[in-house]
Amino acid sequence: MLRWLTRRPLWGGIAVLIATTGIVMAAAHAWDRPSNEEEIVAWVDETPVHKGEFERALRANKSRVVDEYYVTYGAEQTAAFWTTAYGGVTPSESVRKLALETVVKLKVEQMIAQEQGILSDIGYSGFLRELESENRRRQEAAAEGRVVYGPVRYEETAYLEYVMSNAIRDVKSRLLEQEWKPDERELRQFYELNKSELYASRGSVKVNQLSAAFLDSNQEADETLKRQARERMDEATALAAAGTGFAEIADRLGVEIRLEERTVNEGNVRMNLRSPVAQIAQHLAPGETSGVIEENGRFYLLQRLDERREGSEFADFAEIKDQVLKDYADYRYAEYVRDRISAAEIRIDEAKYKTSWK
Amino acid sequence: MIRGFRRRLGALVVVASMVCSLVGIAPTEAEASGVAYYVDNVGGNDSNDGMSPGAAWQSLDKVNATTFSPGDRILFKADGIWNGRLWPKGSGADGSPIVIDMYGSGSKPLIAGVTSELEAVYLKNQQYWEINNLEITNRSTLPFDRNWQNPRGQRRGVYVLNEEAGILNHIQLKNLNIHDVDGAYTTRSGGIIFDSVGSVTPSAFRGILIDGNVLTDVDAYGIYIGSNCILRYGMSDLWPWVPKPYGPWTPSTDVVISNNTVIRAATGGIAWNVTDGAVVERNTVQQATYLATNAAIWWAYADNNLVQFNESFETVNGEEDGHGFDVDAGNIGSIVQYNYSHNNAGGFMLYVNDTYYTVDTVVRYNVSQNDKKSIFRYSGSIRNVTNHNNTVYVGAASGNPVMSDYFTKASGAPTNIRNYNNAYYSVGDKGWNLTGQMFDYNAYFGGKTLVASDPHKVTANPNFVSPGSGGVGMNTVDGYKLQAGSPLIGAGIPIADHGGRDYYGNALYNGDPDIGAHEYEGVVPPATNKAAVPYPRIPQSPAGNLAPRASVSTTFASLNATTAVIANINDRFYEYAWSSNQSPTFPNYITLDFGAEAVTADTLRLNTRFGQGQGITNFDLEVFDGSSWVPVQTNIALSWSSNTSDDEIKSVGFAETTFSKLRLKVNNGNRQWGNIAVNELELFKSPIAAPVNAALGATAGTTFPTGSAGAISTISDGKTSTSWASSTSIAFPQYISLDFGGSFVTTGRISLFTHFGIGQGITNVDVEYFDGSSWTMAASNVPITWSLNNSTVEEREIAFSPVTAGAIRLKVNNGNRQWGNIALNELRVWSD
Repeated sequence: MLRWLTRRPLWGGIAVLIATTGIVMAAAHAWDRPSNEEEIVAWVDETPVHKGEFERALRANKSRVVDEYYVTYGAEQTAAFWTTAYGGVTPSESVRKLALETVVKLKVEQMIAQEQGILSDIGYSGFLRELESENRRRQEAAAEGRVVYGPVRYEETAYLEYVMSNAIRDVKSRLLEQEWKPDERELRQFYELNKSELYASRGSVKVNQLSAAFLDSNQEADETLKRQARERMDEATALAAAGTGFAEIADRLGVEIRLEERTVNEGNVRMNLRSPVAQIAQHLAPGETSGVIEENGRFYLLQRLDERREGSEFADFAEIKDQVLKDYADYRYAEYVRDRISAAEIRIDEAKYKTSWK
Repeated sequence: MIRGFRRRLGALVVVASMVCSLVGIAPTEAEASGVAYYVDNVGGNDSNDGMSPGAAWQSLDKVNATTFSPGDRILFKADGIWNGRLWPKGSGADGSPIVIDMYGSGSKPLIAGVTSELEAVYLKNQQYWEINNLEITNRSTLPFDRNWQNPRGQRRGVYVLNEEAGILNHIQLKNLNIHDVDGAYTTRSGGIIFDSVGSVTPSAFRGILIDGNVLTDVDAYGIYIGSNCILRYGMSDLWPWVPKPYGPWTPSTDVVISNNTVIRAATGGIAWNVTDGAVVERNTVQQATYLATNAAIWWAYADNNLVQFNESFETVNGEEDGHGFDVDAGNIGSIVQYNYSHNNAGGFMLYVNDTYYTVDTVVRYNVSQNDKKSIFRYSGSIRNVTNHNNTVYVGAASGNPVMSDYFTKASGAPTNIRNYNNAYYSVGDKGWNLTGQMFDYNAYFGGKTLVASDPHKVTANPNFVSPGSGGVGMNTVDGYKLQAGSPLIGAGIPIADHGGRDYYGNALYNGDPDIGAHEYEGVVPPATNKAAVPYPRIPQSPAGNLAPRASVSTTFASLNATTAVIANINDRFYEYAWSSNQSPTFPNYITLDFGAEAVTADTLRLNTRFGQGQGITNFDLEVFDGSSWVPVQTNIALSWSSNTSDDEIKSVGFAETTFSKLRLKVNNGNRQWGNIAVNELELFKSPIAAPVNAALGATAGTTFPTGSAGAISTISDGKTSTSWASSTSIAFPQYISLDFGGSFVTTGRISLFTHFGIGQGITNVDVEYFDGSSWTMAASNVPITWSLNNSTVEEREIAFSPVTAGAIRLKVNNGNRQWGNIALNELRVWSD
């Protein structure tokens, strides 16, 4: 499924961001801000980005820049790494740009959550207070031997992830209930537009299977039954090779042989990879008959029926309406955040910005 | 026909102590306090001695070329960055681990993995290591897909490999920040991977602690403990990337996974295989299954799992599975409690298996809110599930899920799923698939949750404080507490071994049990002493059995090398038996070898099903004194009375003896089908710690007239399959008694077993005991309710203050009389 493969912003995305958001470079003294103004690195629509938030974003993007420059330029970690220009850009410049991209998106998402009444305080000091108080509460509880739910101590980034993922979920559901509430037609339209990317059926394979158990009444494997079952299945294999249909084979061999149609959903990798039957079914050509396969107390003989290849059909709208609704919300949200970033006025304290990393 | 041994393949069960003795990586005593080595990528130099910050080393190459000693510390400078793989050599010792940490202040030192190596941090066949406070990445530029052979390779953040090294001790990973690990879709890719490969030498870890780590954007797994030592009970196949041939099931022990945060794992968040006694607690797993189907927290081929206080939420992919928790294939014993599952795409709880049975799962006092698709899913060979006191809220955000679905697979069908005291609250769902399940004492409100067949259902509004109001964090679900006057208060049935607390930490019980995850703390009427429901369990050895610590062997030829192996007789589980071939010769030997360990015992027990057909009937008991075998007792005769699949246990006492090797010289056996067999061989030093059914062999009597169906002696014959029934014309009260024949038994607990309980079960009793001179009351007016009216035997337990009794009797005050009679299959008296 392609939709999940683009979770990380693409390298180079910052150029787009700057181009589309109209970042205004300006001097710090231009604004009238509260007393901790010296701690402010940037403003997103008048919402301050605290130095601590920016540094957190720098730290979060550090390893990506390290990797990029190592892979692209073979840049080693020397004292001069951050200030050496590779391809005209220093790693410091790169990490700052990425960090800015990260904080702008965060601030916009926080502002949206605040507008929707989900987050009350989106300032950095408020966040830190909340984190500290949460950690204090947890540590006190742990010290007193009371049960602590979740980690004893939250690390800042993990706590932010935690808070924001919950906030974003609530934002989506609130907007979906009100402004974005799609009617049936809109939802179907979304489905139709996106079905080739999002709703293509995972490939599946249909087989006819003959099987014989060798379990006794206690569901235990029985060696004698196993020998007999194997003989039956060998007989079935010979009949199939002679062109006898599976239904007729089942009739001839009697009640111990079970005939079933089975669909192997190729999406269920974790299960299929532990099932010899599923694995062999996936590799049969249409019409082809397998050899005898043993799996958990039964012998199987398979014959592949039709095939449904990935992308050749789409999941039924009615059946996956909930998923469509969720995707619709995700789509609307992503679009909304993008629009808000584009429309945002982003101002930077250039001096602080430039000295924020080596 | 050979009867009574168990289906699945050959359990070459090898316990940890035995493996250790085989391969013997013996912990060495710490001989030095160790050296601190400093590493600074900017200010260091590899020609320095590394022993002070001013003389730090510089590179990973230098660290990797060094073999460290017990007690050494490797300290990376804060804010330092290294590209490459960290693989320091050497091992610590018991009490003197080698420690990796940071020095100075600033960000955690970054180890950025490179594409030429699969892992960023690596240990191979090393032990006694603690790795702390690093930032670790391992990127690939290639995209993830579902092909396990994706050219990304099986990339890992931290990879701890035990390859044919036997038991490795003490590996701790703490406070690591691991992110952007881009591996292929296998169980050997991801943030933190432990891997045991024991094709030749059974291999596992003893002492894994994974604590306080944050793992973000990790493919495929967040944390995975894997092994190829999986063979037991017919387990025959695993994923193609797991090295073959597989080794005998060898569990990692002393495994703790705690306080970790896993965010956006591509597939599973936290998973562990082949462990015994793993504790997984206080973790937060968010947005697992980000890129492909899986479950957030799951475990397989593992015994005695404890999964608690975890928050599992927002799994992304519900196409297949996608549940918050998944008791997966081949687990024996799991307790899932005090967890908070919410907004998971696949549902709350998945029970799935496609190998030998997953058995004895208890899911209790959890909260599920707005989970989706299938709240509970049962699939394949699952046996004995007890879900009790869970609160399940299905809100609009759940999107109309099924409450439970049910799938029979080639491995078998889910059986014996019991639901008690659960609160189901729904604004819209598709209802249940009731196959294989029974419901009793549950509360149903809204949607299609109602299970009409629940004999003691509560359907009024549960009067929660604020249903649906759970938010960020496990402490945000006070909305599921009960308000005064809630019809759920006191409406549940006691559970015999309930864990002692509710979700919120309140002690159990306050009066009669409440329904749901909250036990109301306010003033309630006193308990009415309802008989308690025990968990169904597969039968196994009681605690104190020494035999599983030994390696077992036999000079008999075994029937086969798969389903009937000798290791089945000391695996603790009565289900699985050893069988000789069909023409055994006598005498031959069965030997328990404890290696270097000296054990002291005075009681041997043999359990054989179909004993009349295949039980050992005569043996000598011998111990090895260092140079020769010495008889302890000879010519021990066993007379088997059963030829059914019931367990029959013969106990042999002998003079207290200390030994490292013991053997049975088997002189004869019943050979109705040619072979002889043993389900379990147990060794104890008395007293045997586990509850013993003192009713076995006691003389049963009744003042009720007995009908034609079965004699009163059947209630103490050890078999729940046989039943006493009164005549159809009876009056209450009358007595049913067990006389211990002049000996005295101390007991605080009895169990009644009945089939067709709704039609013929006893519904109210006083329990009285004979103290040597008179009858005294132990428990009065105890109500008993039965949930089924079919051939499934139900158990009800009555607990009271312990008494010492020469005889026990039930004063039967009432009973269900659909057909006129009452009946009782078994009355057990538990003496501890």
